[in-house]
Amino acid sequence: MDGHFKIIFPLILDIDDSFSVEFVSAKGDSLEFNEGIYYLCGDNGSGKTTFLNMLALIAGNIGKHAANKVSISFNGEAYNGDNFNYLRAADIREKNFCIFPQKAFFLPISTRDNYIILNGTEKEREKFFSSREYPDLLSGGQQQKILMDIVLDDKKPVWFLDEPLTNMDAESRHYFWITLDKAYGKGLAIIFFIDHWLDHIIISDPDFQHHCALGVTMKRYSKGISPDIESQGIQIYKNSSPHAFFSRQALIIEREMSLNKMGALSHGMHT
Amino acid sequence: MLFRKTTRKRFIFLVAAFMLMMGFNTYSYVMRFHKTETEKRDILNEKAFKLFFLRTRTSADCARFLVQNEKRFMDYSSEIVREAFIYQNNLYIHFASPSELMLNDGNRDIDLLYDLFNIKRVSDNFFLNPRDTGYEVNAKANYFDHNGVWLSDDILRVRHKGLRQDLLDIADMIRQGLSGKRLEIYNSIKTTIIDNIKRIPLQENYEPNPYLSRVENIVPMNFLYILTNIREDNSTDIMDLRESVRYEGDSSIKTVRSYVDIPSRYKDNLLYHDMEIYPRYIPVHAPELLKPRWNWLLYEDIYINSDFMDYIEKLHFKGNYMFSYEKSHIIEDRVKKINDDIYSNHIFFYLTDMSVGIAFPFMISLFAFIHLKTEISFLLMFKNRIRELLFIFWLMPVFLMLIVKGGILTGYLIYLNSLGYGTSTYIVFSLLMTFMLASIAFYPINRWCFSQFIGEKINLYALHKGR
Repeated sequence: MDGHFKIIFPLILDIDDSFSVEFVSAKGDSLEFNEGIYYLCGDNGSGKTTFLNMLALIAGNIGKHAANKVSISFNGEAYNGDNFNYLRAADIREKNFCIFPQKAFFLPISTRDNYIILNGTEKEREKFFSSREYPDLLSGGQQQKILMDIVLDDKKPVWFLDEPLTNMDAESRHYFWITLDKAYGKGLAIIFFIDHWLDHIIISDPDFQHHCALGVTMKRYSKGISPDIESQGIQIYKNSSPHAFFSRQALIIEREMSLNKMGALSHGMHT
Repeated sequence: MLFRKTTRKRFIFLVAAFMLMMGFNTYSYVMRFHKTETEKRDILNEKAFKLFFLRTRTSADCARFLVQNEKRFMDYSSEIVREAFIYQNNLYIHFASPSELMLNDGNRDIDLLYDLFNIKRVSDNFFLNPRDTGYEVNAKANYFDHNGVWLSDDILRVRHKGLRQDLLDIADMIRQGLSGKRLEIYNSIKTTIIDNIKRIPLQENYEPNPYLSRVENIVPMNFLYILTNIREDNSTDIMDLRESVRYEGDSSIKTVRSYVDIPSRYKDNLLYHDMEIYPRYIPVHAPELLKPRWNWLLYEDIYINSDFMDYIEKLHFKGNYMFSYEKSHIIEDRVKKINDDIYSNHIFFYLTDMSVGIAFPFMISLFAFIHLKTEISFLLMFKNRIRELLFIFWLMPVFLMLIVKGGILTGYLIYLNSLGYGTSTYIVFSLLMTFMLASIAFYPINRWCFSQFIGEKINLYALHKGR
């Protein structure tokens, strides 16, 4: 399945009358995202999640009335096209996007039912999920792992991963990188990835190249006074062939796990 | 179930309250519908409401009345019934003779009078051997008591005496111009008929129609025909004339067959207008005075021909009093009351049912949106279930309405059927119309409740966060 985004700047999101976000690119008026993994790097509140939400069609203005608001196209179909509406947006999301939200969330039903409702593409996989276990009762890290199993589907070409590793222990993180490694290349083509702990690894990784820098301007409007303007920046790094990166990350965690085990053993010997 | 446990109970209570209110309102409507429908049916089936007796003072007045009003009555689809009248609270009515019965087409207005006064069977059996084609015929020497069931013997005796005196007076009017031997024979026959006439109760414990209970006795007019025919018959030998009317041992009068027919001189003229038995009340039959009337507000009430009623009122004002004047007011008052009840029941039902049928589903959808927006927005991130979502929250209240209304309606129709009452099927239209209007009106309201999912501003991320 193909996956290709094109953005025409400036990209504006009017959340309501009191707040707006505007993205501009340092590279020029347009920006494209093709195959590969894209890592978004920036401070808290810099607009990384908002940018991903707009790409993933879970925030933003669509349709012909939003012509000057959103200028994103996916596989050549513009979000502000004449015939683009909420149904088409939902259709694109269902067929193409996997969205891993910042905080793990589930429907108030069993893990298996969550899988059936939210994914349900593979009958065989259903039995791996418990029909008695309610995911709300699990710990944060376990919830993230379960959610990953439920929503990440290697048949969809675009994954939006918003801080998926937060709360995860070493074993889960290892499972995460292995999952990405297995999925990438099957049907998965583009990964958008946000994390606050990998910045230095990504920047120093030889496989990642700086893709572009986005300027983000946030305006807060109040009655009778001039708007409060705040500027931020987002750096986007790209790795067109991420298999080696995924393997390296998995290996690093394996070592970490071994060291931890050895540390625990030596600690046990001393005691 | 997308609702969390605590919310689930509240949602169920909301749905239960909706069903209860809708059910109570529909049940109340159906009960009042049944009540008004029964009253409507009673008044439409009351034949006494289609008959008026109007007074004429003299024979000249009677003739003028008929000339002036006969056509007007026909314009109002009504008709003057000629072969009967009321005099001194007694109904004089023609009983079809055997020779007439052979020619009777069975569509005469007078049949209505037989029905109303419950004398159909009596009139059919008045002649003892109607199929006997002999020269003579036997007729019962009876008149019929219409409302004397609970009266004392003294009163009945006084009534009998009064009637007998009336008949003697009428016979004296008929004999005018007779003299000599023929007068002697006439008087003898008059005595034979009137002395032997007996009061017969219609049936044991018979209660007359309350709107006709002022009529005391029903007298076969054929006795008067015999007297007229005796006076007129010049073809019979005077000695044979004496033998032409005889009182038999079986309380019947045996007479010449042609004597019980309407005398030829009266056949195409006003009956007995030359006898001064006035004031007399002439029956007017208005079969289409009251009819069921369909209204575009999807109910059926009673149409009353107010032009006819105004006309009757005008005649009354001119001195043609009605035998039962109060009946016309009872008809108008009852029709007005029933129509008002039908109208108010339907208007009240339409307004309340539409209010409940739109407001409660609106509350249900709003409740669902407020309590489920986090779950729904999360679900929509992965699945395109917008159409199903809108459809389910539209369909659910619509389906509940259908269950409530369909259930009550089915129960009501079964109840009617068990009573053998017949089915007033047009109740289906009012229930169906309110159901359809509420369903149609609720459709955009339901979409509006979930508008944040279906607008041109996608906001799933914020909605998922509970904003």
